[in-house]
Amino acid sequence: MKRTKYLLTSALCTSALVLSVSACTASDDTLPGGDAKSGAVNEGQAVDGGTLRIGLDRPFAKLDPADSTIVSQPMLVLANALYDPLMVNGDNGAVQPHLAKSFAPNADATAWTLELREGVTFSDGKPLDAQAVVDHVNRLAKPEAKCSCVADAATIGAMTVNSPTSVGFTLKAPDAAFPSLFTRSLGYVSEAPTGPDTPATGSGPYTVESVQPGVSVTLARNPSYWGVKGHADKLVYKVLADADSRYQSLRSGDADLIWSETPSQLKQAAGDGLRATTGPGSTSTVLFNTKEAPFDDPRVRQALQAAVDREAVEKVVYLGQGTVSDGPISSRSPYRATGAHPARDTAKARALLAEAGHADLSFEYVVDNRPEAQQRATVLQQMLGEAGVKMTIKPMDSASLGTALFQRKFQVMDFVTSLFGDTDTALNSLYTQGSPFNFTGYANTDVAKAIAEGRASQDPAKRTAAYNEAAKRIVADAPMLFLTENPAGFLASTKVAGLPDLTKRTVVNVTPATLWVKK
Amino acid sequence: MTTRLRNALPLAGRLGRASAVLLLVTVAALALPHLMPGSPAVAALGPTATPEQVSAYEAGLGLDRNVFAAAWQWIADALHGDLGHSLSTGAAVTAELGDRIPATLELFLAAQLVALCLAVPVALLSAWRPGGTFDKVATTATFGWLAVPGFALGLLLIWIAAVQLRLLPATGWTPFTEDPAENLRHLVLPALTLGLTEAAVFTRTLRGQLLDTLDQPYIAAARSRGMGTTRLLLLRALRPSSLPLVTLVGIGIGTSLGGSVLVESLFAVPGVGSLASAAIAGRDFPVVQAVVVVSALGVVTATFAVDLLYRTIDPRIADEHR
Repeated sequence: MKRTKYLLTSALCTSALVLSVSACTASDDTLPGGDAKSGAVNEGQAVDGGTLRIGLDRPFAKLDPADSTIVSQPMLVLANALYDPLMVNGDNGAVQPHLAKSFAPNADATAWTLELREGVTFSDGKPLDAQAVVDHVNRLAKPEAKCSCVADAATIGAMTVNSPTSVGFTLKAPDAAFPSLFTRSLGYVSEAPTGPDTPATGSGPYTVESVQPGVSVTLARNPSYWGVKGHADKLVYKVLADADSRYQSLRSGDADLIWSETPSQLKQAAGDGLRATTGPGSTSTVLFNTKEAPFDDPRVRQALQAAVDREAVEKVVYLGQGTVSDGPISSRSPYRATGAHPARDTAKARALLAEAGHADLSFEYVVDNRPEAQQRATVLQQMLGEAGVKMTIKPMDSASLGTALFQRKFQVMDFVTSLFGDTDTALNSLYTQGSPFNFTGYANTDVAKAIAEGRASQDPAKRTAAYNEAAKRIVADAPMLFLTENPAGFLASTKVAGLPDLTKRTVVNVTPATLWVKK
Repeated sequence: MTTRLRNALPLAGRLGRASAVLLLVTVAALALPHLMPGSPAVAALGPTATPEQVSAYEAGLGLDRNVFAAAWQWIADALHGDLGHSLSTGAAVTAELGDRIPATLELFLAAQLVALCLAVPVALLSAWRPGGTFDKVATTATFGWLAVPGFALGLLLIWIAAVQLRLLPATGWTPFTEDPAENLRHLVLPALTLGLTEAAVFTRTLRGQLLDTLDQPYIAAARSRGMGTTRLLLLRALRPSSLPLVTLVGIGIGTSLGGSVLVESLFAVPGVGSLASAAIAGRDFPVVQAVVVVSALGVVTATFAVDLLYRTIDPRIADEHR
C-alpha cells in the first residue's frame, strides 16, 4: 500500500505534498506524539526524576482504550502513558508505526500484514504478541465493549496470527488507509480489565499506581518498558474540569501541564509566564440536516455558505490564532491541494434564497453551552441577518446535543470536530451513505465514488486527486459549512521541558514520557 | 390518651409526611430517563449502537417498564443498599456515593461554620446600633455580596490566595484520613466560597430577627431592669432570634448540594456535587437518580432534625403542637 509506505517513512513525513512509495518501517525512537525529532525546542540534557502533575479537562470513567474518553484528543496525554499505539499520527498527517514495525498491504489493499516489534511485553510481563493484538481487536469489536471503534473494527473480515509477531488482516473492502484505524482505540493494544474497577493493562512507559475514577490517577514508571523510558518518576493526573480554575492551577503551581482550547488562555499564556505547544486541534463547522426542508435544497445551503464571513468568525472567536477552513481536507493534510471556497457574497446569498423560494428564511441553530460555541453562534446570527436570514440560537446541554446529532433531530447545528485530523477517516465517515457518522444525511454518488477511489488507491497522486475531487463537490453541495481550524494544545509551567512542536500535526498528541521536570 | 402518645403523634405525622416526600422525589427521579427528550440510549451509545444494544441499555434504565414499576423495584433494591450500577464506570453507585459523601459533608460543615462565624457577630453588631455606621456598611456589603455569583467569588479567591499569594492550593483535594493538614489547606477556598455567600443570607436574616426580638415586651422589661444592650443581645435576644437561622442551616443541606456542584467542579473536590455534574453531563441516570434521592433524604432528615431542635430552642413550639 503505497500511501502507507509513504506515511511510514520519516523523510517523507516532513512534506505534506511529496508523496511516494517507500519502505514501511519504524524507527526505534518513535514516540507517540512526542518524538524529540519533530521539533521540540532544544532545552539541554533531559533530566530524569520528579513528578509531573497534569490537569485533565474531563473526567474519565475507565482506564481502557475501549472508552472513547480516554482516546479523545485532550486525554491522549494519559492514554500514551499507559498504552502504546500500533500507529501514531505524525507531522503533516503522516501515520507512522510505533508498536508496529511495519504495516503492509497486498496489491489491492484488501489484505494487510502487521509486523510487531519483538520482545514487547505488557506491564504485567505477559507478551504483547500477534495473539494479543487479535484478542484486543476482538474485544473492542464486541458490542458490550461499547467502543466507538466498532464501525472501524467492522471493516475487518478476518484476522490471522501468522507468527508470534505477525498478524494478517483481511478487509471486507479495499482500504489503502487501513493503518490509520490503529492510531486510537484499536491501536492501543491492551489486556482486558479483570473487573469494572480495574484498568486495562497496557505496554506503555508508565503503569497505574492508584486511581480514583473521575478524580485522579497516579502512574509510576514502567520498569520493564521496551522503549525510551519516561523521564518523570511519577505522573499525577487530576481532573480539573473547569477551564478557568485549571488555568489558575497552572499559574499557581498546582499543575505543571494542562490541556487548553480556550482562545483567551492561549493568547495570554506567554504573558502569564507559561509555555504553550499548540496545533490545529479541531475544526468548527455547521451541519445542515439535508434530509429535511428547507436544507434539502442545495441553494439554501449555498446561500448560507455565501453569507458567512469565515475570516471574521476566526478573528472574533479565536482571536487571530486559528486559520480559516476551506473544506474537508485540513490545511495540514498530506492530501491538501488548493482550497477553493466561495468568498462571502451577501447579494448572492439573497439571490439564491429568492430562487429557492426562501427569501424570508428562518431556522433554529442548535449549539452547546461552551463560550466559544455561543460566541460563534452570535457572530453567525449577525452575518446571516445581514443576508436577510433569521437565525434563532437554541442552546443545549452536550448530552442532549449528542442525541439530537445522532438522531438527526436538528435543522442546523454547530459542530466542532477533530475528525478532519485524518482526511481518510473524515471523508469516509462524514460523507458516505450508510456511515453512522454521516450526520447531515448527505448523499452524492460522485462524491462517494471519488472517496471510494481514493481509499482503494495506493498511488498517492491518484488518491490526492480523488480526495480533492470529493472535497470540491462537498464544498459546492455545502452539506456543512467549514468555518475555522481551531488552536488547541498544552500549556505548561516553565519548569516543564521537552514539549513537542505541534504546529505541523493534524492531531494534538503529546506523550508525557518525553517530558521532564527541570530541577 | 397518655402524655407519651400525645407527644408521639405529631412526630409520627411528620415522619409520614417526610416518607411521602421521599417517595415522590424517588418516583420523579426515576421518571427522568422517561421524560428526557430523545433516547438516552442513543446519547450514551452513539450512532454505532445496534438495536439490541439500545434495547439492553433501555431495559437497564427501566425504560421497558412503567415509572411506578421501575420505582418500586428501585426502592426495593435501595432498601437492601443497592442503588444500581453506573452506566459509565460499571461500578456500584452505593460505593461511588460512599466515596464522595465524606468530602461533600466536610465541605458543607466547613461552609456552615464559616457562614455562622461571620454572620452571628456581624448581625449582633448591626443590631446593637441599627442605622449606625457599622450597620450601614454591613448592610451594603451583604447586599453587594449576595449579588456576586459563586463561581466568580471562587475564581477571585483562587486568584488572590493561590496565584498571587501562593498561600493555598488552587484546586484538588486530600482526604482528612490521609493528611489532616493538607486536607484543611484544600478545604479553605471551597469552604470560603460556599460559606461567604451563605454568610450574607444568614447575616440579613439574623439581623432582622434580632431587631424584631429587641422590640418584644420582655426585652423592654429586661432593659428597664438595667440590663445593658450587649447582655440583652447575647443572653436574651440571640437564642429566640436564631430559629430562622436553624431553618436556613437545615435547608442549606439541600441548597448546598446545588452550590457544591459548581464549587466542587471549580475546585476539583471529589464530592457528590462533582459526581452529579459528571453524571448529568454523561447522562449516567443511575448515578443522577441516586444523588437526587440521597439529597432528598438529607433534606428531609435535616428538616426533621430542625423541627426537633425548634422544640429545644423554644419550648412554646412543642406546647403549640400538643
